[in-house]
Amino acid sequence: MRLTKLEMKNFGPYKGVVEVSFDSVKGKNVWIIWGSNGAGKTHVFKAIKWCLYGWEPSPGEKIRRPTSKDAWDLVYGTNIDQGIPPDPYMHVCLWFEHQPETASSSKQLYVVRRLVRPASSRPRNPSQIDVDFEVKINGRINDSPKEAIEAILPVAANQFFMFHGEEIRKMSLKHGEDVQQAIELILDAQTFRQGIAHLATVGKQISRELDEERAKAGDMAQYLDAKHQIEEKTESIQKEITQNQRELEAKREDLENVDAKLRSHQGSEKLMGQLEIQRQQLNQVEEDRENHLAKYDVLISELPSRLILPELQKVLEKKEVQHQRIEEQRQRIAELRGMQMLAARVLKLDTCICGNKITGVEKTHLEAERRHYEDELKQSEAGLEQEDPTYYQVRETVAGLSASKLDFAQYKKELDRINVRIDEFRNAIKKTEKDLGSSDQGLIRQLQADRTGFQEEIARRQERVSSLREMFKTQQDYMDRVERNILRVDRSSRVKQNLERQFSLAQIARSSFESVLEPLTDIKRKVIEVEATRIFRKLTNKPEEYDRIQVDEYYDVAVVNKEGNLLEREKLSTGEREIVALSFILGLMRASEKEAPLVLDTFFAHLDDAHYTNIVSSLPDFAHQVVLILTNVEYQNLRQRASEGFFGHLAQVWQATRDQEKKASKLIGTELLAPISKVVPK
Amino acid sequence: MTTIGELLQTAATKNGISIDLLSRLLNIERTYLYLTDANPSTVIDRIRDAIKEAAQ
Repeated sequence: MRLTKLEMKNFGPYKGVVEVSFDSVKGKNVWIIWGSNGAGKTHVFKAIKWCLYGWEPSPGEKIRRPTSKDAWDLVYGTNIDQGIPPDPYMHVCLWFEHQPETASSSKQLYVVRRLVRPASSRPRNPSQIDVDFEVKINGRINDSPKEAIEAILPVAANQFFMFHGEEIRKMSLKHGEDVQQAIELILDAQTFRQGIAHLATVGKQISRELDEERAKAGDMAQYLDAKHQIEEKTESIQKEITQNQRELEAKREDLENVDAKLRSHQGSEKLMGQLEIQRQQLNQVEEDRENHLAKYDVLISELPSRLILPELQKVLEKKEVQHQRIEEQRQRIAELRGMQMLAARVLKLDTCICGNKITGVEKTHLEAERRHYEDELKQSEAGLEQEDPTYYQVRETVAGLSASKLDFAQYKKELDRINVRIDEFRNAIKKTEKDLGSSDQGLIRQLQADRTGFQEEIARRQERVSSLREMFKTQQDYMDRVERNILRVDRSSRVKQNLERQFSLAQIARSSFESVLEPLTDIKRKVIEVEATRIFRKLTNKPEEYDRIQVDEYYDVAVVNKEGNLLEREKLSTGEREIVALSFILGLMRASEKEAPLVLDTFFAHLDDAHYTNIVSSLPDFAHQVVLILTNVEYQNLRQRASEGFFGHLAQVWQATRDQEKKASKLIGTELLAPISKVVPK
Repeated sequence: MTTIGELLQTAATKNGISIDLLSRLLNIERTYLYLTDANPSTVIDRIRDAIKEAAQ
């Protein structure tokens, strides 16, 4: 991947639009941007990082979401005056050319990050700005801009392959855990490690779903057994229905035949009907006669009492006189008892009910009266006659016989009438029987009996068929339910199979990632060692003393001398440590499997002459595209020390300058460099 | 072929799994876990989708 152009608007110290071209001429792969401190050269480097990632990560920094504050701090004007940007529409555009490993033609990528439609035309803080990010590949907008960048740049390239001199100095010391993670990101080891963890989580998730599915599904064998039982039952019912219907049809045919025969003997049948009615009528009249004859016995039983009725009446008259007398005696006793009780009650009073005092004379008189009543009551009770016990019986008998209407003439007349009717019916029956031949009678009786039998049989069969159909419907309902369950279990079984397959895939994928991780780490570490050693040996000023670079499992880097002793980096000089760090980073770039531009910002400050010369002569070979950002001092050094070969790789030089009055920086393309001894001062 | 590609292919052949699925899973991890600060549950969902699709 190669950067071909950069465009900035209102970015950092740059007011308005500034363009930097990285057009390449064959064999030239080094660009220089130089300037004095504060001229804005580092903002070129910042612009690339911000455009790609939205913020400026340093080696080992955790990747995070870009914020409006990141953008706000980069808008022209936020660092001067009141910190309010005069023109909030900031943007950075990058153009890349990418040659995919598997494609014959290259792709053109356009990346832009910009402030769009700020909430305020004069935004005063980060919350009043919006940032937009867009990537186009061969002119077409890509829906996943971050993925598009990931496809062309090594993961975490922003943390290693574009760095400031200060950052390489940090890197030259012992790595921290975060740096190790960032290195593993570039090598994809961290990706596999996290993938293993995620696949384990997914495996657990699938396993849980599988268990739930297993718990939900019923036993297929049980449902199938039930299905077979229902099928057998249904078949048996169906057979019985068919058999009954066949029987029903046969009986209906029989009935029709009987009816047809009966129709052919319609006249006889009519007479048979008439004969039946006549016999019923005769039976009724004979029954009436029996009832009437029973009345005769009643008449006979009442006759003697009837004859002695006058005598009984005379006896009753005598008994009535005695009864009346006894009643009068009872009444007199009741009166006397009342009078005596009244006299006794008045005697206990002092005054009469009229309010007058009862005198002694009056009381004496009353006492005499009471005694009189008492005596008379005793006499009456003693003289009370006994009631005749037969009196009531005689009275009822006389009353019953007097009410009875014994009419033998009427009885005889009614009996005669009934007998006449009996004779009439008997004669009529005889006549009908005479009209109806004896053979017809037998046949019709038989046919009628058959018809009744058939009708009863048909009714019975119909009832059975109806009952069987109900049973059939019930079985069908059972079958529907069972089949629904079978379908559910079947579906669940398919879901289970799919979940089992998913679980298996997750396990295999996890196992595959695990089997990749170890050799990958080992291979990559070796690649870094080999490449870093190759570069280190080109750069070091002590090639006869230092043998190689060693990278341990934590990506800690050390130098091994010719004697095979390990030299810890802390014991090396600052310049040597930076050379080791640079060698490691370039080795890392080789191991990353993706090409990235190498952007070095003020890297050369601590290097001695030998290191400086070595680096400058080797730089064009370090990466397919190198961008050097230099202070004016570094730039002068470079012109003095660089070899002819280095100048042959220079593609373009840009100078960053700052207009103090306008408080704005600009980039000026200069003529290609020549060694300083060959430059003619203007 | 790259080193990672070779290692993935070896693992896929050895374990009897599609190299496409492994590559897809790797890309999901690269894209959604490290290049962005996407919610980890999104990564899990994407992985699950890929596995579901492969299990069809």
